[in-house]
Amino acid sequence: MTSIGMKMSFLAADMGVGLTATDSRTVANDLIPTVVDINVNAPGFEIVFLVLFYGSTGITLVGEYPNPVGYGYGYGYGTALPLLHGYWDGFGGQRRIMLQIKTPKTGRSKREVQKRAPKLIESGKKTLILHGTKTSDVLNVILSDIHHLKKGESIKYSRKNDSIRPFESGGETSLEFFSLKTDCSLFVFGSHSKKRPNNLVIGRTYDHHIYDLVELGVENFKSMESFSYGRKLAPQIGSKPLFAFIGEGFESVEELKHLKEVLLDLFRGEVVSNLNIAGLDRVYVCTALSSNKVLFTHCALRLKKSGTIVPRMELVEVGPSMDLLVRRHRLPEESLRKESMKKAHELTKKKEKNVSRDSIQGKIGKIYMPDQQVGEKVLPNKAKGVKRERREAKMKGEAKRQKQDS
Amino acid sequence: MAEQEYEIDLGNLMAFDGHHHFPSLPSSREELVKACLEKGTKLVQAVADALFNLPSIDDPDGPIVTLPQPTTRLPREKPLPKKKPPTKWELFAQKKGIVQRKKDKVVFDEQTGTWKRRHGYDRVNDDNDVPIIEAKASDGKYLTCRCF
Repeated sequence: MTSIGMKMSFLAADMGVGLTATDSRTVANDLIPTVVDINVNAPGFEIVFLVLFYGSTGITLVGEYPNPVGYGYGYGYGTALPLLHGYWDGFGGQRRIMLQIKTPKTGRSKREVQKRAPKLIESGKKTLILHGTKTSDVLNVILSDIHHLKKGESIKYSRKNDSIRPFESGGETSLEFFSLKTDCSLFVFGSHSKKRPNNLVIGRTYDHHIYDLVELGVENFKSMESFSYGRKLAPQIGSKPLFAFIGEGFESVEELKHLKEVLLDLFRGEVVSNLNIAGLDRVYVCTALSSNKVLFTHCALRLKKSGTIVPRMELVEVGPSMDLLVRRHRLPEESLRKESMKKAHELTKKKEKNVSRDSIQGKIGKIYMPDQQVGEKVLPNKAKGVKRERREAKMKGEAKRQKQDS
Repeated sequence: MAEQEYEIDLGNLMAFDGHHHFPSLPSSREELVKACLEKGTKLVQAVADALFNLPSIDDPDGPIVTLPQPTTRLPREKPLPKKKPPTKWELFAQKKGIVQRKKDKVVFDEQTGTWKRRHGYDRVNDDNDVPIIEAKASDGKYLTCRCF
């Protein structure tokens, strides 16, 4: 595998499984290099392959650093099936590498890869909740509250991450990697520093690359536990929330417009077409207090009887309530935005042509016939009568012969 | 108020009041929260009005309503799936005009005039289900026949 003048580095990350140094070395020795980071502009080639041991089931994510290309599956940690075989020559410079991408072989791995493949209609974005080197008490409670609000579709990391700095150019690689590994397209990153106390960065990814970011400071936080209310009012996990955005700031100020979009994306849950309206039980109320401050609160809904079909709504504060101060934000690049907003061609409604409805006749269709030129075309002379003539002629001929014989 | 028109996005169950502004922020936090909740209640009521007026199907758990598509466009999380090129078989089938037809589990049996299963017990056109089976020479051992 080694070639002259080649730089090869190996990174094995232990995701809490308890790998030893010997294990990683055996993997390194057994493996045919899987992911190759092609840095064509570098004077020599640097090959970095990253092998991750995820859980005891032995699904190993083998990917290229920084953007993993695919998955390799192994059984038991210690072996990993190679995913990419690379052929290359030992000369530096701008040579091309031929790569063979291997597809998953077992049904199980195929299904896992299919689950993460892009779909025509998307729904249910997952959220990744993590924090940086330093967090405050308030921040810890906030992160766990958000995790509870989004139970089932969020993943919370408990370790601190030093290398993540979302707004810096180099500090997003870890985030993108985690987003790929957990298949999360939203993330909430909490950090605390003197300059930015109780800092929350909410971001979205497109194709596992950072799409946009909003940095918020949290003030006047009240956690879910500090509110007391009747037990029956508590909203159920996974119910579809209603949203109420109040304030002209959400329309006029860029940052608040962006924040509105991000909050909607973060908390809306799955997009459903059929909804049981008796099961509506929560609202997120966001009020723009000034050009950079938003009061965010989560309330439970009480449907009360009113004279009409529509029940009277009553809001009871249940969940976390906080003041969000918009600090920094990064809007998506125009090209990325256009690409992400594309709608599939198959989903555009097809117009039914030549069909109309009439109140008297019901459904009417129009058929367009080409001009058949009846009466103008010359008909072929294939009349059946010709056959009869032939038959008669035959019979005549036979009768003549009989006469001759007799 | 004349400006009661809230922007309602039913697909996302969202109501937006773009005309409201606080002339002066209430001094105490409690009052502020109360004012926000009051406004929130009005917006939620507007959404509920629209929702409950949609045509609904009755269900033991409650009325089920078909929501329209959300109007606020949010970005996708992954790019659109690429179309896979047709496989060699698919191309061949297209060229030949071979159509995939699914076989039914239950087939109508002409003999009995009932619907019978295609495979398994009591199936349609069973080879062994014939009243008279002609004996072969190989069956000799098992067919005792006293020939006089």
